Amino acid sequence: MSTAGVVLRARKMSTVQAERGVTPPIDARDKVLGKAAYVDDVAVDGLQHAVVLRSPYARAKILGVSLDMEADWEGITVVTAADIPGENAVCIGESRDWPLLASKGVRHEGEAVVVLCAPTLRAARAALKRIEVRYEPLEPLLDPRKSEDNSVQIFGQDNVFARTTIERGGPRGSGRWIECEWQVGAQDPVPLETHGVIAKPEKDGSLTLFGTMSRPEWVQQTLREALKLSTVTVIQSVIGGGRSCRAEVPVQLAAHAALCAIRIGKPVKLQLSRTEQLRYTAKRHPLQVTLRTQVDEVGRLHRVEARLLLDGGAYATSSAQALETAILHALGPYHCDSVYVHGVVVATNRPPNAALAEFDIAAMHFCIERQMDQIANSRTLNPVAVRKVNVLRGGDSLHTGDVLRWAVGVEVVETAERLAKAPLVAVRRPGPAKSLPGQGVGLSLCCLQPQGGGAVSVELRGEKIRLLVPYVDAGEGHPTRFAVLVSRALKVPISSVVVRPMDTSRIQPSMASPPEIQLALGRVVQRLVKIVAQEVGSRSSDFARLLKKRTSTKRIRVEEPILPREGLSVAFHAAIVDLLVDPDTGEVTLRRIVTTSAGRRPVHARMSQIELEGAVGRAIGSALSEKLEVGPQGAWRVSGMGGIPKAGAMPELVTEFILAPDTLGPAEPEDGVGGAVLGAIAQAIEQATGAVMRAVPMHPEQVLKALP
Amino acid sequence: MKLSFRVNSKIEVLDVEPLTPLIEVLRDRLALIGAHQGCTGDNCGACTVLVNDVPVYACQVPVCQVDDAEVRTVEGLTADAERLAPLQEALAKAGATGCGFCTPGMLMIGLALRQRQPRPGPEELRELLSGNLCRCTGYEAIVQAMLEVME
Ligand code: FES
Ligand code: FES
Repeated sequence: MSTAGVVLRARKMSTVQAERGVTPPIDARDKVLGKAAYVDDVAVDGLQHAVVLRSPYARAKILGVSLDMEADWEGITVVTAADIPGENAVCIGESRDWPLLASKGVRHEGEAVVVLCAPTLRAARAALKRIEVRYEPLEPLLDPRKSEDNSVQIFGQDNVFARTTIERGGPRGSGRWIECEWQVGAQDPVPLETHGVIAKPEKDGSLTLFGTMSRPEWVQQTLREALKLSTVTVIQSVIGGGRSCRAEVPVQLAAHAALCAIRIGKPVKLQLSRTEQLRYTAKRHPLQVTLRTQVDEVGRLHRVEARLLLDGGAYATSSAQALETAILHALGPYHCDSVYVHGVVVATNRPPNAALAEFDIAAMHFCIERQMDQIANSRTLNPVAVRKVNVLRGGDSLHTGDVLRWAVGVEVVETAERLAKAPLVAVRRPGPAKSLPGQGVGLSLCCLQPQGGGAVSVELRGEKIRLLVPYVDAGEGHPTRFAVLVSRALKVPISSVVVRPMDTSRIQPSMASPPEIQLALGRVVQRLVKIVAQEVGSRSSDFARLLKKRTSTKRIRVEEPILPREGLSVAFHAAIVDLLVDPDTGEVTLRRIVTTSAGRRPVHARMSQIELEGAVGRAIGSALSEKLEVGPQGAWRVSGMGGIPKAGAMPELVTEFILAPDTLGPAEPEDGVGGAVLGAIAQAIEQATGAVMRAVPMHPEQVLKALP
Repeated sequence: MKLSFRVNSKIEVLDVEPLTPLIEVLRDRLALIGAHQGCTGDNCGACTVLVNDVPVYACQVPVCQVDDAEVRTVEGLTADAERLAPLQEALAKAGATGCGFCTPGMLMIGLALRQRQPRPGPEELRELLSGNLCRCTGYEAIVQAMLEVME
């Protein structure tokens, strides 16, 4: 983790209310017309349909695979691990432990063993039933604590996928110790569209993949290593939400579809059923945290000791990254010079979990925010005051050594407090007469590591400006923001700016974050203006005027590298939640959520606001309605799509943005608000009822159980 | 089974298995891809269409039930892609489309509610939208856009 150089105190800030009636998203027209092409909407000639045979066991040896020879196998292609020409591994960054298809044994329920394709989905599903896999079941390891004990070995020497320790400053002598345990169960991002891929062999021997893949470079790497395919083009479809969960699992799906497509020389589609998606795809790592904090009489942190245990599931995939995010946010938005943080991700026989930044950050904040409340309780202090005493200030360093160039924790809380003083607009669903009212506050900090890499390009074609940007959008609206930025910089109508979807034949994939891409776009646009000015022999920087003078129709293309930001990009949030708790049923009714968020000046304030409201909604869903239960063989048993709250469960939302100093690279103002909301809900429940909520989710049963 | 029904004012005569879900017929036989399948049924509302002006989950309705009926899908909201229908215009302008997967279903339930008398107020509207999930927007933008059109 890097150390930023410049130190800047929070400076005068202004607030923005997101205005209405601004530029609509560039893809809105297609979406309201029902014309946006998601994977399942695309018609392809001769398309075959693939399905996957999955293990019913959490841990088992595979003794053999056989086909029912009585059945009609005409037109059906069956692929097993034996058909993989190269390395049987999904490439997730450096990680190679996850097989495309299990061969000798399975390590989780739902693990892919066989993939087959047929001319129709119905025929494919019917054929699946005619394949028998013989297993020898083994005792599964489903509990991460037991995995940490290493009493049963399922991975390497110690069941550990990743481990990190950070120690800063020594133990201190004075102050009272408070020790608590917190838990955040798994979370499913529940995108409305399930993962899907179409693999299409091309006449020149290459392969094109189209679908919901947010990490095209992993797809290309996997197909290079496993299928020995050197020319693979990955094109993104319109994606139905959940960008971060489109990273790992779709790589495996792409490989499955590719295996079939290459074998039969025809296009093949593989789309997960909702049941497969809910049960077997990656969730946020279930997290257990033990926090020991030593505080003085005003609640100031003298020492923080945190032990984090993450359940990685059966394969490492991106566990190291999830741990890194958790560790980076281990102290939330608070400062302490004396810190010990130890985190470990262990293997279990459960479907592999994935790094899902939004949820990873929120989960860690639930723990640290709950700890702040217990610090306040132990000294009968005001929980807001305890937060203000400890919150990071500009120039403070994090436990990772990163120095914050700006920090406005106090300001975001005070703004939220001011907003929360307004009377509730409409008392939504007032709840039973004796419902108890509670108000809670939560803070969160979102840190994004500098990434950079790759390049952005602009192409001038006649009057049109085409942007080639290494970003896969799943509905967060960044392409619109890129277009708005460029249209503003060049003073051209937004309708003349076109943003190409990700297509690896034209755009080199990159990990760069949207703010980094925006900075590169700013530079590339300036260069374009200069080039056009030179071409028409003018000194003007008025692009519209230059274009008018331009007689040449020659295409101009300018490329600019995306440079990694210096230091972390951060955003701060405060949330104040008003709710009612029914003491008889434990039912929680949200009445109002106020959030204040500090980050970069939004390119499109309205869009940032909607993104923020969406993130608040997802936090509400994971706090109150999501139900992920573990089945007997370790896969998820999910009832419905509880991670998404219903419209009627949404409270009144009041949001405000505070601008951070623009030039210093803050994150988007909506990034990371979920943690503040989770913490505030828990505190409000505690304030209403005295129930100390120690875990997410906080269903009525849990609230009742926690009542004093 | 031979069925005939109107889809977006056009008569369709099809030979289909009577229990085929309406969503499959719309998408696979009639190439009307606007309604989406987001869940295993009865949950997300992405497949919402109108049958005789009543909003239904098209994943739950066997096609035999729409024999002789009038089905409306998002494709029937406007005949001219240059001119969006008021609800479409409002959702687009409000930026309420996010990933857009729920959008066609939202538009159809919105259309049904717009036709109701009296028109729902904000709180009632939120309750009435509870059969249509949206993970991207937190609903506020959708609700506000619909209210604007309903006023
Ligand atoms: S697909 Fe019909 S309710 Fe979800
Ligand atoms: S816009 Fe994505 S689910 Fe509603």
